Amino acid sequence: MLFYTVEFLIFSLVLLASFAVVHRHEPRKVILLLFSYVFYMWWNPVFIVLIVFATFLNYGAARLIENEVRPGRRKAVLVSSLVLSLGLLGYFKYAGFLAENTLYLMQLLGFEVHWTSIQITLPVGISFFTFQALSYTIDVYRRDFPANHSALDFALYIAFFPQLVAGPIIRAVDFLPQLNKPIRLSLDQGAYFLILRGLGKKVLIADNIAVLADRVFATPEAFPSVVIWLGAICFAVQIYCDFSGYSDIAIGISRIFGFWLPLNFDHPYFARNPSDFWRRWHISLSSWLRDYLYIGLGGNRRGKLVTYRNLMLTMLLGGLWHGASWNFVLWGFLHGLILVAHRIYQDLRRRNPSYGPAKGPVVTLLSIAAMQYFVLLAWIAFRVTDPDALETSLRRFVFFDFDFGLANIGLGGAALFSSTLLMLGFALLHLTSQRVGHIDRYLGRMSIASACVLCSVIGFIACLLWPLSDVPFIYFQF
Amino acid sequence: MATEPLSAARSDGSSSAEALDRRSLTGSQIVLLIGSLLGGVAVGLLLLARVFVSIPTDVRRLGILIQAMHAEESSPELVVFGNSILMSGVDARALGAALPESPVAWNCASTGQILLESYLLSQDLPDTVEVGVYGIFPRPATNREELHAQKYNTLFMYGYRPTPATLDTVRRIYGSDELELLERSAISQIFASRWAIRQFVDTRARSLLRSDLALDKATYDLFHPQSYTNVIDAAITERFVAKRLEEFAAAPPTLGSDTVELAIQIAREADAKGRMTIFLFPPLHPDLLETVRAEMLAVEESFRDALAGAPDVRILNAADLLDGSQFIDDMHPTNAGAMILSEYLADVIREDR
Repeated sequence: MLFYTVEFLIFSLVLLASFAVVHRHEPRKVILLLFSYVFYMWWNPVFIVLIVFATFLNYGAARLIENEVRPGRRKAVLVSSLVLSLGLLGYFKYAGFLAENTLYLMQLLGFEVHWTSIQITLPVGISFFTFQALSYTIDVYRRDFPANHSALDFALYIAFFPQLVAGPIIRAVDFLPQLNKPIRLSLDQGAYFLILRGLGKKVLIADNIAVLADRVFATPEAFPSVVIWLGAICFAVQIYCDFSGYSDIAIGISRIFGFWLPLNFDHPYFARNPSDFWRRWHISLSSWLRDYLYIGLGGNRRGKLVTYRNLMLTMLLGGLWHGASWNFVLWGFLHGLILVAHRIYQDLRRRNPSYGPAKGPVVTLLSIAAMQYFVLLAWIAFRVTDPDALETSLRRFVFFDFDFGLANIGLGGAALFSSTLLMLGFALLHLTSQRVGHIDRYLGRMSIASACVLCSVIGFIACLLWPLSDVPFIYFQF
Repeated sequence: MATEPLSAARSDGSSSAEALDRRSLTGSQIVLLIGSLLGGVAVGLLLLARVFVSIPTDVRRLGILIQAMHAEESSPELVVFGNSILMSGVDARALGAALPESPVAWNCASTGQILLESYLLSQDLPDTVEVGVYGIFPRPATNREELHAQKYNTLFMYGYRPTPATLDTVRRIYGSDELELLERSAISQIFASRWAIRQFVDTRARSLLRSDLALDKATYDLFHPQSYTNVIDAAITERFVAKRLEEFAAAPPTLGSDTVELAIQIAREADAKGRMTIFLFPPLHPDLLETVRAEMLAVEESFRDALAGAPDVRILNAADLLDGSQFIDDMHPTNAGAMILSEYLADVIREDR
C-alpha cells in the first residue's frame, strides 16, 4: 500500500475513526498492531507469517537471554536467533543469487550442470524488520536494554506500519519506552508539512526525474558523457527524494500517533568526506552497521589494518544488504574503498597535522565536490545492473568526451529538459534548506494564514506535476 | 566519536523530527490546511482546462485537426489520414489542384497516427468530405497498435467526444483498454492533461535546439505538414534501414486483426455517408522493399481478401512508387516524392469520382 494512494487514505481514515471510538491505551495498541498487519498484508498476505515469526523468535530469544546467567547459554540462544533470522533473510533474498553464481562458477570450472533457476518472491521490507528485530536481541544480549515483557508492545515495535517496509530502522531503546505513554492522536503543523514534504519529494521530484535516469541507463551507449552525468545526477536526486521522502512521511505519520522516529537523512549531498556522508545518508542503517557489525568486528580498536578490513567488510555487507546483486556489492566496495582511503588520510593527519590542505571555504567546497563526484560514480554502480551498460556508463562518466551535441540524441520521450529543470529546482530547495537550517521548525511555527497559502501552492504544483502512473518506493525492494 | 568513520547522526538539534514545533492544530485549522491544499489542486485543474489548448506539445496537431474540423467554414472534400510518412508524402494542395474543380483537400496525417486515431478523427469530419484516404502501415508482428493516452487526451481537451456508435465500435473491436481510455470522466481527462506541462518545456527547448525542424508547419499545416525536408546522410539512412530490416526479420510485417476489422468498419460507415474510401499502402524505401517485398505483398493480399465485400473501397499499393532519391531518410518522402504520390492519388480519385 503506497502512502499516496486512495487505499492508504481509506486505511488512514478507518484507523483514525477507530481511535476516535477507542480511547484506552492497550486497546489502541491492539488496533495499531492490527492495522499494521493489514498494511503489510495488502501487498501479500502470506508473508505476514514472516513478521509474526520474527516477532516471536526475537521476543522469546530476548526473554531467554535475559533469564539466563550462563554466558555460554546466553550466547547459544543469541546465535540460534541470529542464524534463524538471518537464515530467513538469506533464503528469501540471497538463495537465487547464490544458486545462480554457483552454477556460473561450476560452468566456468568446466562442469556441465543444469538446473532450473530459483524464483523466490522477496517479501517487501524483510531487510528492515529483520535488522530491527536483530538489534533488539543483540541489545538485550549486550545488556544495553532489558528484554521487553509485553508481547503486544514488541509486536508493535516490529510491525509499526509507518516505517515497516522501508525504515527508518528504529531501535527498541528508542521505540519501546514510547509505548509506556498513552497513545494520543495529535496533528501539529510541523508533522503536516513533513508529510507534505515527503510526498512532494517522492511524487513530484523522484518519480518525474526517474523517467530520464531510466532512459539514460537503459542504453548508455547511445549517449555522450554529458548525458551520462545528467543521468547520474538525476538518479542521485531520485533515490534521495524517493527514500528520504518515504522517511519524512513515516516520521510525520508516526508523530500523528505520538511516536518519535529518528532522523534518517541530513543533507547527504553536502557531505565533505566519506565519514560525513554516512553520518547523513540512511543514518538508521549506517548507525546499525556501525553498532552491530563494524564494532562487532572490532571497530578501530585492533590496529590500522584490522580497522581498514572492518570498514571494507562493513561496506561490502552494507552493499549486499540492499540486494542480491553484484552491482550492490560493487557499490559497497567503492564506498568501502573511499572510507579506507579517508581513514588513511585521517591517520596521516593525526600523525602530522600539517599534512593536507588548510581549512577554508574553498577547500570545503572542493571537498564537497570531490565527495559528490565519488558518490555519483558509486550511484552508477548501484543503478546499472547490466555489466556492459555499467562498464559503458562508468567509462563515459570518468573519461569525459566533451560531446555536447544534444540536438539529436533521441531523448524526446524522456523529458530531458523538464527533468533538468526539476533537478535544478531540487538543488535550489536543498541548498536553501541547508543554508537556512531548521526549515521544519520554521514551517511548524508559520502562521496559519501563511501555511494555508503555502498549502495552496503545493496543491497547485502537485496538480500540474503529479506523475501519470504510480511508482513504488525504490527501497521497498530492499 | 569524531574520528569514527561510521559514526552516528549528529545530535546538534538539527534533526528534523526533533526540531519541529509540536503545537497541535485545532480541528478548524486542520480543515483550513487540507482545504487550502485541495483549493490549490482545484485551481490547477481549472488552469489546465483553460490553458491546455495554448500549450505546444508533440501531439498538438491532433487538437488542431479537431479545431479545423469543428470550424464552421470547413469544407474539405478530400482528406488523407496516416502517420508521418503521409505527413511528408502527400501535398494536399497539389492533390486538390490535380483534380477537376480543384476541390479542397486536407492532409490530416499526424505523427504515429494509427488507424484507430484516423477512425476517431473521421467521426468529426464535415459532411462535405467525399473521399477519405487512410494510410495502412504493416508493422512487425510484435508491435500491437495501441491508442496512446496522451493523444486521446489531446483530442478530448480540444473538444472531441466519441459518439455512442464510435464507443460501440471500439468496444467490439478493441475491448476494454481502449474503451476505458475513451470513457474516462471529464475531470479525470482534465487531471490527465497535466502531462502537457512537462512536455511544453521539452518541446520549447527542443525547438530551440533543433532549428532544422519545422515544428510549427508540422503542427498547423492542413495541406503538407512535413516537419523536415533536409535529406539525411546516406550512411545514416542505411543504418535505419538495417535496423528496420532487423525488426522485420525478428517479426515479419503484418496487420493486426483489429486493424483489418476497423478498416472494414471505416469503409461501411463512409459508404453510409456517401464517401469513397481509399486504403493506401505508402511508398517504402527501395532498400527495405527489396528484402520484404514478398511479405508486404502477402499482407496486402490478405487485406484485400478481408475487404473483398466492403462497399466503395479502393486499395492502393504505392510501396514501389518512389526511388531511393525521393526519400529524406528510410521512411519519409521528399517534396518531389510527395508530388509523385499526390499525383498518383489524384489519378485514382479522378478515375473513380
